[in-house]
Amino acid sequence: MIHSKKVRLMTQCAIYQKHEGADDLKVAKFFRADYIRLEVVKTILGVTFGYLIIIGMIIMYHLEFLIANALYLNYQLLGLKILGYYILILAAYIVFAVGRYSYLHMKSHKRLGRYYKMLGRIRKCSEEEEYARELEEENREEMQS
Amino acid sequence: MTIILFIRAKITEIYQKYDFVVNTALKFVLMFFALKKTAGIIGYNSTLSGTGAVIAFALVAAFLPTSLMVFLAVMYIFLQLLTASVLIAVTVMLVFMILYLFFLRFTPKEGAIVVATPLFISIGMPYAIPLFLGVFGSVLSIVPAACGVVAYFMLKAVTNNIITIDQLKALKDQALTIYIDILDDLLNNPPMYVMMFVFAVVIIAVVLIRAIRMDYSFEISILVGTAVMILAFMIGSLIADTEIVVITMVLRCLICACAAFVAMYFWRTLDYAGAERVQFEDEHYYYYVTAVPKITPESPKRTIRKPKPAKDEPLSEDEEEAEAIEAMESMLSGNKRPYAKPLTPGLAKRLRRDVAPSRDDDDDEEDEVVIKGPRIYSDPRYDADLEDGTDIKGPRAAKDAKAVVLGAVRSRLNKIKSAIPGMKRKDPVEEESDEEGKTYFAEPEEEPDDFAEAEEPENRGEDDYE
Repeated sequence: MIHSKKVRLMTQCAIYQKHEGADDLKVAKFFRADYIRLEVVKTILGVTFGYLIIIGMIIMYHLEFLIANALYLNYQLLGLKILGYYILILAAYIVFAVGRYSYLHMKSHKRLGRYYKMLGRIRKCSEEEEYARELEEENREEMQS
Repeated sequence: MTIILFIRAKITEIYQKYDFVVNTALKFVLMFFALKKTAGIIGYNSTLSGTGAVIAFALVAAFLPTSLMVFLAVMYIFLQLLTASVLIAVTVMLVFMILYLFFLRFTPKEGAIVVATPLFISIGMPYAIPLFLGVFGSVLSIVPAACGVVAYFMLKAVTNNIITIDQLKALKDQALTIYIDILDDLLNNPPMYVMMFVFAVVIIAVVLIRAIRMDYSFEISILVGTAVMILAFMIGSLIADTEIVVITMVLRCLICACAAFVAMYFWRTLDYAGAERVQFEDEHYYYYVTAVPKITPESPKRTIRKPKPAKDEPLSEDEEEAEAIEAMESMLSGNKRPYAKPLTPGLAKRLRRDVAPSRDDDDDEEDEVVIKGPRIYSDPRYDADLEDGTDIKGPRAAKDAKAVVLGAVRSRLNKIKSAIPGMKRKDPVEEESDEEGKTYFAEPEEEPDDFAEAEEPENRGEDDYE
């Protein structure tokens, strides 16, 4: 016999899994600190790559000037400037990433809490169902005997 | 209002049934028009600019997640520009990469906005973007909207500097110059910054106002957002020293606001309206479940009304009898309403005829009792038929009518019983007269569920017919 309450709970769980659940379960693989660390590393890589592209495009933009003044440029100052901007941008992005991914982790943790509660209720329903089935079988055996 | 609710319910119903088809079709339409517009701006490759290629791209995009729509659109632009110049194609690709790495990777699911924004700007309706994003999105929607603005102005910068492929081929040695010109056009572009700023301001305003817990917060947020947008564009045009036609801008803003109102009205049901199809299993079963959310507005029920006969046209004998029987059954079943339907002149006549059916019949003594029907309604039309119109109105009229009909039914039953040999005949219903000499049947104190029980409870069990 189909347990209607169990079906309802399982349907809710399945809908959750289909939408937010997929992302939340990925997040749930990690502890909060590990998850944030991983995302920050990804952000650093992304920003670094993007920054390199920007630097490359700027170099292309000023290529004529750079070639003309290649011997007279203060490379140390230029390098420091590039590095300074890089650190500034990186710091901003790291702060943003820490805040954002902490918030996302907290949210997904809450949703997962509700999801696990529903799973617990499903387990209870299953146990009740199993118990009812066993009772029914016992009764049938008694009737037969 | 009911019609609008009905239309909304119908649309919701259709969306529930075909949510996948509708979403795919919407993505296809968006991508098709966006690519067609792009082909109109940078259509350097005739094969790719053709409708067939655009449809193919749009079809692929329709079946991909929204995050990959941007990728596909960028690939299309890249391939188009590759025909013109490798350097420019790579430059555009790099700009998109920067946008992705710095901004879009934080909002991967809002790729459709990046595609939609250039399309809306190119058709002269950029005002819809911040309003819609403010109502349906979050503050983070500023990022994809701004990226969309950059994408549009970048394509515009490319077309400003490359007019035709032939010109480009003639300037093959000056590719670097074109690259510098494109970047100059892109970066020194005050209208672009104004638009990005206005978008950001409007989105923030709408999101903040709609989050306030008050009545009509969504509607107010749209109105305020529209006002802020008009003001911001006017101030921005002054700062950026660009020319705008104020009347056109205001009109377009108002049209976009109306569109946002309509969309918001439908979205409130459509947001969660999509039916969910899930499958799972436990130890004993496989489940294939379709969970359809409830719709709050009910569609109006359609009632079919039979045409009533004209007043002058007399009812047929069968119809009159059917109506009279229905009225009697209604009263006998304890219905509080004396009649199942309004008493028509034909029905009233029929009832009175039933009550005094055999006035001329001298054979049966009991049937000679003349029952004077009370006047049910004080309508002068009925007065003509009455021999002695008793002026009774309101609930009393209904009560008396009920008593009269009950008496008629009982007398008929008695007649039937007397006709059947071996069946005991019941006493006629007791009569009583009021002070004025008008005759009525006595009404039982309690409404009997069964005639025999009410009249002769001691004979219960003796009556054969029971």
